[in-house]
Amino acid sequence: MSRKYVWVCVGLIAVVWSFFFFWNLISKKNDVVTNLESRVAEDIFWKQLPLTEVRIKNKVVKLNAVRTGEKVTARYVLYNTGNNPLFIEYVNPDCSCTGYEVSDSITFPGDSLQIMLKFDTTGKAGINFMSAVVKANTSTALYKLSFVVDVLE
Amino acid sequence: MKKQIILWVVAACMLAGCMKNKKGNFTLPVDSRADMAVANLEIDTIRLDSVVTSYVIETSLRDSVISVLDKYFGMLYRFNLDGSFKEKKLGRGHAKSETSIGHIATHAFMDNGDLFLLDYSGGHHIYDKDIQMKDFFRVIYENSGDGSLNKDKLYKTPSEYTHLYNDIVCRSYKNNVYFNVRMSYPMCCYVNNTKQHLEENANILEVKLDEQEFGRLLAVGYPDSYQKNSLNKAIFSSVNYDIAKNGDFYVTYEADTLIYQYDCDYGQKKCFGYAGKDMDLNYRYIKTPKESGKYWRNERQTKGYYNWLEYVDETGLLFRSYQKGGAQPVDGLQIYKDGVLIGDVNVPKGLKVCGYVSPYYYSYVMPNEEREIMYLYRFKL
Repeated sequence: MSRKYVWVCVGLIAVVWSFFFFWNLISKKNDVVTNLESRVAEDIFWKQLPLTEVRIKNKVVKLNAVRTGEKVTARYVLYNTGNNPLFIEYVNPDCSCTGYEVSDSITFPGDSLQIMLKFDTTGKAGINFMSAVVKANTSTALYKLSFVVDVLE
Repeated sequence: MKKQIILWVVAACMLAGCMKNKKGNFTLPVDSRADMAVANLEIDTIRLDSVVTSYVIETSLRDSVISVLDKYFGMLYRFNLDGSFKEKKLGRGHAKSETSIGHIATHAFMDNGDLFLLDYSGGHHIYDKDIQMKDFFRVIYENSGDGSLNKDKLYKTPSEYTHLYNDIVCRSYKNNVYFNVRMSYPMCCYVNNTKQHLEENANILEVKLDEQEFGRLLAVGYPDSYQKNSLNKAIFSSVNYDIAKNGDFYVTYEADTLIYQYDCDYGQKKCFGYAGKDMDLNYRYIKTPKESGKYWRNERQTKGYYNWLEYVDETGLLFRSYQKGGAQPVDGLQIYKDGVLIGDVNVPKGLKVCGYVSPYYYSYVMPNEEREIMYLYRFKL
């Protein structure tokens, strides 16, 4: 009787374990599929946006020399000179040492927005040339914003 | 007694063998000859049609087409030899004909026409000749962390090396790609471990695309010229190299006068070369890696060093470019044929020979971000 009871318990545990194991697998697959689907959906969204035009005042900013460890910010002004709203799809800095901020998610025709690149100079003694790629809904699409800063010890 | 003598003889032979292997890549005597047939060059400038670009580019010349790869925007532009725009390929995205690499580190075209791209995380991306994604793999670079590993072992481990991203030289031969590298581990860098570094640091890394793994470590060690005033040459310790169609390697070290020729098994074949003219060799003495980082850009912009090597299979000529440095308004270009120097001429700053389409030699494309133009040079010999 007790042996039968043990085998029943083992069988039940096996069934429950299998259930959770395959459930986990299916969830992960769904996550991957969902991620892919959302990336494709995102691509389609951005490609369907009406195009506008942009003028960037200074694509290369020269910052004043700073001491290592300080944080510096390079500012760029983008003017929407077209007839449709301007959206920034992404800002992609060179490295993790540079963060960014975009002042507005939508910029209407005639208006402008600011992109700020924030550079952590820790361990970066010397002259640094850093860049970030910006993608927007214009026919040019891609822009490189750069800054140069002399980091003193 | 006899046994003792035999022991001494064996020990002496082993010692002699070790000493010979110490500088295995630099044992050939120098065989430099000159026959100056080329006194100057008539150089044309060809401007490329305007395209959307970040001006951070790499160039290839293949099948009479100039390919310009934009490393930030991921575009591959093709131009005709007169600079007119031909077509645009690749671009950023997730489609099979696009690249998702945010910042491309370097590229190379393979013998079969495939395009190879390297990203900054050890990702190797391969596209077929129609620029459709074909394969991808990532090579893991391990960092030994706390210094507990044996330095001798570190120098022999490919994954302990890192690419020289600022001055990367990527070449292909058969289905392998090659990069100039340096030891990534700080305790084994040129400045911190000079003696061993000069003997054991490998400067070229092979990656086998078929097997998706590291291949050989090549260009191990430095020539004799680096033994003297070693720390003055810390900032000029990389190599430039090219691989001929027959597999021969041509290698030059940035602060060394000579050019070394090896066969495909990296067996020595020849050693030759003359110093460039009017080069500012007054290099700064570097005491620490921090100083190296601090003075790196300025030294490399203002001092003289050998900064490119290109072998042209079609004509059998070897071109070595060098920056003169100082206040010189021009750079230098040496031309060798079968190890014989046939010309050492002044050229516009930054000119590096890219390839040959009869009857012209073409340079790499020069981007000018301020003027928003791209152009290249060509000349005849």
